[in-house]
Parts: sequence; structure tokens; C-alpha cells
Amino acid sequence: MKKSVLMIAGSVLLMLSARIVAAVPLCDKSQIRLVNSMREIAQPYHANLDKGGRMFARWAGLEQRYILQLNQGDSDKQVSLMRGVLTTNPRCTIFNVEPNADLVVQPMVNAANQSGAWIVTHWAHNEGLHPFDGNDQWIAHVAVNSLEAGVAISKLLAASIGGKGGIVALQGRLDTDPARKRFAGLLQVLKSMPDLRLLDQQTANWDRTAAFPIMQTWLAKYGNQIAGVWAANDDMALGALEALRAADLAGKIPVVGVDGIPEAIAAIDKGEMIATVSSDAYYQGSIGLAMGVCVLTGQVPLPKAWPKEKREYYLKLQVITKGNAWQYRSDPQPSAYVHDWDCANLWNRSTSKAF
Amino acid sequence: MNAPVLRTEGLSKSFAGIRVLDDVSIEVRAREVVGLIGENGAGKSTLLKVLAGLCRPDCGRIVLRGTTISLRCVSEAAAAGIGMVCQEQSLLSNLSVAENVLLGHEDAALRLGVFYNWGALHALAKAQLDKLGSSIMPSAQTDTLSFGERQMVELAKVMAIENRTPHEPVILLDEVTSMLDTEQTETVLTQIECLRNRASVVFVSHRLDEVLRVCDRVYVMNNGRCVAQRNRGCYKIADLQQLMLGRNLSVEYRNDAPQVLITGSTVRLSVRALSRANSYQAVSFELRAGEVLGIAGVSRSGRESLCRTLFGAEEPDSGEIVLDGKSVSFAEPADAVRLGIGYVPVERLVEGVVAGLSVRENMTLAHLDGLCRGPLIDRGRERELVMRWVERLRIKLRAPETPAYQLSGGNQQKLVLAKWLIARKPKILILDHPLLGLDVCTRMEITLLIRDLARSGISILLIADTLNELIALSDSIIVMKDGAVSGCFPASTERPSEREILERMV
Amino acid sequence: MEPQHEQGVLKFSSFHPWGPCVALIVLCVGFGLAEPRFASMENLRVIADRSAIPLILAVGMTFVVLQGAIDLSIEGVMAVSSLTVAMLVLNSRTGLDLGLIGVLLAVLSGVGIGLVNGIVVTRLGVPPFMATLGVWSAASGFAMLLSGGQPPLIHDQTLRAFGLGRTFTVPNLAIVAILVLALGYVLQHYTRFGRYSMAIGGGEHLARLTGLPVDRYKVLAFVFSGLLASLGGVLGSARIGLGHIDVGLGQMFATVTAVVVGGTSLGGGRGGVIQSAVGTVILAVIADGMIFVGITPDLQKAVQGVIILSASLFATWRQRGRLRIIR
Repeated sequence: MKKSVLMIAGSVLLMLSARIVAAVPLCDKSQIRLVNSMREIAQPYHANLDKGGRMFARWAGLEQRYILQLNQGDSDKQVSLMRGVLTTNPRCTIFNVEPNADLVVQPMVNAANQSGAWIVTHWAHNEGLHPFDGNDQWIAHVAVNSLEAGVAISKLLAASIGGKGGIVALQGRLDTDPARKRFAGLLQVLKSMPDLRLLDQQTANWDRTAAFPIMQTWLAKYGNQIAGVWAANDDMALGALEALRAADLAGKIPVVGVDGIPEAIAAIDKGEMIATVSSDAYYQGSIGLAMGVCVLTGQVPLPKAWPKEKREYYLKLQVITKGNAWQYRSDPQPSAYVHDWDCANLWNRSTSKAF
Repeated sequence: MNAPVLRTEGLSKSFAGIRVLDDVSIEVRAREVVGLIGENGAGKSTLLKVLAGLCRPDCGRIVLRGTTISLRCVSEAAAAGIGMVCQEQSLLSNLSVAENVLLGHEDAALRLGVFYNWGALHALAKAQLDKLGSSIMPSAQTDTLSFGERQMVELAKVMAIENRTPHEPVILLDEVTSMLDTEQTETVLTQIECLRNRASVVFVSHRLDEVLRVCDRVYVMNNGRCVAQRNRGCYKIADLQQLMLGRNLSVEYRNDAPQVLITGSTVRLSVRALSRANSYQAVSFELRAGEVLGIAGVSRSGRESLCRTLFGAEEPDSGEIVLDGKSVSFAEPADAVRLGIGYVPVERLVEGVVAGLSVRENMTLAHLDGLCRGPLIDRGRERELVMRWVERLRIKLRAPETPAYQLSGGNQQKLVLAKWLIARKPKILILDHPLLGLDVCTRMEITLLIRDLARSGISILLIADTLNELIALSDSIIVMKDGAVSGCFPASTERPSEREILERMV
Repeated sequence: MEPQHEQGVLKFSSFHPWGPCVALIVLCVGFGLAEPRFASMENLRVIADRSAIPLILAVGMTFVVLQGAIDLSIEGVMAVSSLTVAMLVLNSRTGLDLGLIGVLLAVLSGVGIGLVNGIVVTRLGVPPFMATLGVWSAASGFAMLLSGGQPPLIHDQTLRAFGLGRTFTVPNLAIVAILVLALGYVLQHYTRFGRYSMAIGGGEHLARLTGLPVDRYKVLAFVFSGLLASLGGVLGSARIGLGHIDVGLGQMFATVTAVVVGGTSLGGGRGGVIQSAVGTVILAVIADGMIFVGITPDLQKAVQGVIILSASLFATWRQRGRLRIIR
């Protein structure tokens, strides 16, 4: 009897102590620094990343400790900005990173490993690189299945023109993974639909000012052979849309994009665009910071103890069409995300492993 | 008695410690031409610059029509009616002639005060050009004009001042004739004589005969001081020369010993039937070691182009150049230099020296390889080399670091020669107007230098200023006319006369 | 006798004036033969539309370059004017609806920035390259502040219709460009601003010596460049429908390329607005033609480089004198 009581007490103690061990914070909350590292702030997508990050910081009471790093498309700068911040108190610093290019991830992860800072990356990284391969400071990689996004919008575009006709495609910056994968999604759909033709593809480098004249030239070259316009992001889609508007074709030729920026949603409402895909910039801009805070305050065990699927997973994408556009019209409130930021729900939007 | 229009009292100016103007007091009366003569460095140009508002005197006064004026810039001088034509060109090559003539003062040719009325602009410019008897088109682009034509435009530009002042202008002419040919000089001198009717002129020239011809009075300057004043008819050239130099010039360089006979020495350069479209045709001659070959001819006779071809700056269309028995062709001047041909161009500042570099840098420019120790330039050897040549050629300068553009014309000429002599002893030196713009003393020095070089075995091709010089300097002479060789005077003790050469030139 | 050079060192020996024109014709013919649809009326309009804003920028840049300087700040000016106009006319962010006044104010912002350029160069003596580089940064930064991550969308339909529409089948923007070109031509050949700019580029010290108010005209050139850059930014915004800090992305380099390819020397004193216009159209034709001919995006940059090099070589071929100073 005494033995079983002792055993029960012992195991309770063990459980308690395990919780205590897990509950020891690595950093005093007031010491935590939140860093959001992204390309720029001109595009609504990035602006919303930043907004998401700030929303979280305010909710966590760390508003003053939030830092935004912009690299203006310069990979070297993104790395050196990170290193700059690491000179003081790296162990309590969390980086939530939108990489400028795939190859930026390795140097940033190295910097985190060496200094003891914490990093969460999004989108894509180079092959063979994984958080669970000894990169203990690399909390997680939140991948976006750009192929899935590309396939989704391509299917919707194909459907809207009855599965046959000519399509023109505006690609993003050719040396980025999202650009390649999204376009691969289009090619995949095209292969399965023989009546669908790719008339031409050009790159507008994610920029709407560049997309406009390309669309103009296409209209002159292909005229009414163009049945649909595919764009790798909303900004380019909107640029092409203006060129269509100049030719009185806005709303008559379906246009698709990716990112889910407010303008695109408004265009979908009006019927000028038919679909876009959102990874939810507010979520992406805040979830990495939330994860980091959970680790640093001891509310979750250290990442090196996590299972692989929690360290590298695909983020659930939201396909926005006319049907559900109303849900995304207004600016999100923190209340919509508080649930996701809770340390118990960090993987709510994970769909599957990404390796 | 004419009251002076322009008067200076005790003007002094120093440049970096050297007194360039020393208590100069001159006066210029209405409707007269005053000559200003002196050696290079005597202060003539500086005096004119002060009068034109280009630089300010350290002390002294300028009195214009009874009122003391202080000129802070060229436009103030122009507004006061004083204009100058410099030795260096002041025209903007990318504008038209009319714009240059009226630069800054186009008001009369503007519609609504803003828009150019080109017809009116051209007419105004033409009026000035006509007064000079020039046929230059006002619409011509300045960079298509020859040097002499540009000088004409400069004159027209300065004469345009008379449209802008109620009084008669004061025109300062600094060595305007030194770069012109006989015909153009004649025109300019005639113009000066006409100018007398409507302006006061201060005329500076090296050529004493010109000064004697047009000037009513002459001031002689020496070392920054005004040492004498003479009225027309009261002096002789010899007197003036003595005043200028402060010593007797007993030996006229022209009467130097006759040239050494050059027979039996090897033929260095042989030119056969060399032709170039629009420049020269079928030119053939031979040049021996140690020989000075002078080329006579008027402008556009093809001699300058010929020399540039021999230096590799222009490509001949046909013919052969044989150097030391081997046929050669040059793709660029560097090839010619490598084969031992040196070229002293006429426009020193533009083509001969790098104006901004120091004397030392210029001198060793072509010879840096030889002064290198490994990858670095051996400064010690460089300095020694420079000092040796400065001494040998008697280049007057304060320090080897003096920038080249600060040297006087004569010293620049010596610098260019030094550069070629240092680089490698050239086999052939081509001299294009070597004595241009130099004063008597320096001319003598350079002449002796040329003789020395010839005697040491260098062959020299020479284009000279005047026939006198040509005859005095050359061993043999060829005459070119309209692109062909029209006469040939091989080396002999009997010197050809000026008339014989002139006959074949024109 | 006088020293005379048959083909001497002429500083401004002309870039064969017809070179770029011939290059343009060759390009058009080449593309037209390779792809007949290139030569359609519609595509001509597209090329005209494509060249409109770059041409406006090039006219402004020409005067600065003629003086021997350069204006690197035009992208920043475009950004500022783009955001300014987007916030002053009927838009999604501010409650203003100033219409034409808004447009004029936005264009004036370019004048102000140009003035800053001019003062920094003439009064503070900073070389134009550095001065305009700094102003570019400052202007871009200011534009970013104005944008604040949520760019204002233009709802003023008159402005949008103007930017996207045509008059008598000619794109409105092309009409504006032609008017600007005409203005530039008159300024260059018939006013002191133009002629003195040439003089300054040809020999600034000589111009100063003659007493020309050189500083005044330098400032004027920067002001004019800023004015036209802001006009470009406004028109660009009218087209894409929002205030966008990247409305001028890449335009600085493209404008300088157009000016140089057309025959205006970066050293100053040579060239003009017509030449710059030809250069601009050449670049537009190349970009458009490459799509028509179907050159894949990866190759386009390389092909563009080759064409530009060839065009420049072709244009300067005749002038390859041995002693020509190459600028």
C-alpha cells in the first residue's frame, strides 16, 4: 500500500517536475526582441506581414521590442541586417524571416546557430536543408506549397474559360522558388487539359508597373486569342488588369493571381479577377514570433525535442473566389488570431509535413 | 592732345611670390593703337588680363575716361567697353559662330525676350564678320573651323562690344597674329588699322615688324616693368630688341654658319609615292641620318597631314614608307614611337603636354618603363633624370612639380622636346612649327638645340613658321603645293633664296 | 600658313547624327520581318504608349546631361509625385478630391525636388552624381513614409480614363509625350536655357568667363528634369491606378541608356532631345519586339545588351578616328 502510494506520489512528482523543467523560461519576457525580416514594405503583402507582426507584439506586450528589417531585395543586406542585431543579446532575439531568395536561409540559420538566437523561416529554402538536421536554433520552417497554389488558381482559370483557349502567363522573379513552383502548377494543369494553350510567358518580376506594358504587347500580338491571364502574384495581375481596362476588356477576360491582397479581393468582388490564394500574411508575419515567444518563455519544450513534422510543415492556403471573398474584405483584428498564437495551437494551420 | 581713354597707375601683381607686374603705368588714348612688346614672361599678357577683368591687381589703379574703375569679372569689363582676344581660344566649339560672337548678349536677337530669332542673330554676327572682311558663315559650327578662322571669330566677338557701349571700346589683342598665316595676318593688321577709327587698341605681338606697322606708340616691357615708351618713327628694331632683352643681340640667329653637307650618311627614311585622298598625292623623298629636311608650303598644301601620317596618326591610302630599309606601316602612333619616330605637335597645350601634370610627370611620361624598379617607379632616378634635362635644355622653372600649363610657351616647347629625347633617342623627330609663339631669345635656344640634335645623328623633319627660319634651320628643303611636291632643294652650301621657294609654294 | 588638322582632335566631332535613326529603322524592319504582327497599327500604338513616360523622362534628363551633369533622383521624384497625386485626387485613403489641382500640386513636388538638387549642386558644390543620389534616397524614403504600406488607390475616374485612354486612336500618354518633346525642342534650340546648357556642357569655365549665369541655368536644368519626372510619376499612377513607390522602378537606368544610345554624350555639350527621343523609342522597340519574336525571358537581358551595344557601335562607326577622344 505504502509502495503504491509512493509510486503514485513519485510519478506525480515526476510529472510535476517535468512540467517545471519545461516551464523554466530561457529569457525574461522583458528581454525578448521580436524581429520581422522581409524584402520591403511597399507591397500590401509585406505591409500585412509587418502588421501581423505588430499585432502580435502589441498583444504580447512587446510592442516596444519589435524590430522591422527591410532588405529592399538585397540578399546580402538581409543577412547583414540580421548579424547587426545579433551583436547584442542574441539569445533572447526571435527572427521571423521572409527570405529574399532561397539561398539566404543557410547563412541566416548559421548565424542563429552560432549566436544562440532563434529563427523561423517561411516560404522556401534550398534542398537538403532542414531544421531537424542539427539546426537547434532553427525553430521551424513554415513552408508554403507554391505548387499547390499554382495548381489551384490554374484550375480555377481553366474552369472559367471552359477548359479551352489561350492563356498568357506573367511569372515572378525567375530565381525564386515561389515563382518556379507556381508556374510549375500552371504547367501541370495545362498538361492535363489538352485544349488549353499557353500562348506566351514573360516575367514582370512581381511588379505591376512592369506587367502593364507586357500585357499591352500581348494584346497587340495575340488579340482575341487571349482567353485568360495567369499571374504569379496579385500585383502583376492588377497591372495586367489595368492594361485590359485600357483595351476595354476588364472583367471580360478572367485574371488570377496569388497573395490575397485587399485590392485583389476587391477586384474579385467586382468580377475583374476570379481567384487568388492567400497564405494569410498576418498569420505569416506573426506565427514565427509567437512560436519563438512560446519557446523562450518555456511554455513549450525546446525545438530539438519536437517531432519533425512540427519543425517543417506546409501552411494551409486559402483560395479566395467570388464565393468567399466577403470573408476577407475587412482588416483582420487581433481577436481573429489570438487563438492561433496560443502555444497550444501553434500548428493549427499545418496541413502536412514539408520534407 | 588726346586725353587718355584708359590709364593705369602703378599696377602691380605677384603670382606665388614672383613679381609679374611691377608698378606699371601706361595710357591708351582715343583712336590710337598702342603696341606692347617684351619677352615671354615680361608681363604683357598679365597686364592685358588685368585690364580685361580676368585677374585683379594687388595694387594700383585703372582709370577709364577719368573715373577709377575696379573690374571684378569679364562682364564688368565688357560692360565698361573693354574686350580682349586671348592667345588661348575662348570659343565654345559646340556652338555656332553666331552664338559665339554674341555669347551672353543675344538680347537684340530675341523675340519676346526669350526666343531666339536665328535670322536676326545671324545677321548681327554677319555684320561683325563683314567688318573684318571675313566670309565665315554665321551658321557654321565652330568646331568645323580652322584655327585661323576661329581667330577671326574671336575678333568678331570682341568687336561686338561696340554695339553695347555708348563710348568707343578699348580692344586688347594678345598675340592674335602668331598663329595666323601671312594672308590672314594681313587681314588682321588691316582691320586693326581700320579699328583705329572707332576704338582704342592695345596690340601685343612677337613680330616687331607688325608692331611697327600698325602701332602709333609702343611700350616696352621687361621683367614686369614698363621700361620705355616710343612714338612712331622714333625707333629702330634693334633698339627695341635691346630694350626688350636688356642686352645687345649682336648675332642674328639667321646668319648662323651654313649647314653641314650631308652626303654619304645612310638614308633613314624613304617615302615612295605616298598618297592620301584630299591631303597629298604621290609624295616621295629621302631623309638621311643627321639631316634636317624642311617642308615649305602654304596652308592646305598637305604638309601637316604628311607629317601626321609619318607619325602614324593618319593612314595613307597608298604608297610606301621605308624606315631603315624595311617597309613599315603604322596602325597607330604607338607603332611609330616604337620604331623611333617622335613628333612635336604645333598645339603644345593640347597635344604636346598634359597640361595638368607637373613638369616632372610630363617629361617622364613616355619613359616610365625605363625608370621602374620592379613594379614601382624609382623616384630617385626620375628626379635625377628630370634635373639633368632641365639643366641641359635650360628650362626655366621653380620646381619640377610646377604644373605644365604654368610654364611659358617656350619652356613648354622645351618640355615636349625633353619628353621625346628622354623616352628613347629618336631616330627621326618631326617638328611642327617648333618656334611658333616663342620670343627671340628662346627661338635662338631652340634653334641651336635642333642643330645639336641633328649633329648627334637624329634626322629631323621640319615645318617652320617663316621662310627665313626654314632656310636657316634646314639642310634640304622640299616645297609642297596643293598636295604634291612642287620643288626640291637638296642639301648644298648654296642656300635657296626666299623667292625661289615662294615661287614653288603658290 | 597655319596649323591645320584634316581630321584632327575635334572634341565635338559629331556622333553620326543619323546613326541611331538608322539603327531604329533596322530594328523595326528586323522585327517586322521576323514577326509580321509586329508591324500592325495596334502594336505601333503599344510602342507609342510604352515609350511615352520614358520619353518624358528622357527630355528632362537631356538638358541635365547636355550640361555635363546627371540626375539620378528621377525614380525618387516619380515615387513622391505618384503618392502625392494619389492622395490629393479622389482616393481610398484621404478624403480629398482636388482633381486637376491635385495633379498640378503633384507635378510641383518634382519642381521642388529639382530645386533642391540644383541648390545642392550649385551652392554646396556637391557633384551632381552624389547630390542626386542622395536626393533619390531621401525622396524614396519620403515616398515610403507617405505610402505607409497601404498604397492609396486612385478613384478619380477622369484621371484614370486619361491615363488609359486614347484620343483619335492615339494613346493620351503618347500625345502628352509628343507635346513635351515639342516643348523640349523649342527650349533647346530657341531659348537661352537650351543654348547656354550646350555652352555649359561644352566648356563650363569658358561660359563662366564670358559672364554667363551658369549656376542659374544649372538649377533650371534640374528643376526641369524634376518637373518632367514628376509628370511621369503622375501619368504612371494614372495608368496603374494607385500611388506606388515603385512606379519608377528601373527608369533611371533606362532613361540614361536611352539618352546615351540616342547620341547625347554623358560628357555634355553634344546631343539633344530629338536624339534622346530616338534612343527611347529604340529601347521600347527592343522590349516590345523581343516579346513578339518570342525570345524567352531568361535570354532577354542578354539580347537587349547585345542590341544596345550594336546600335551604339553602328552609330559611332564612322567616327573611329585614331586620335578621337572617346567620351
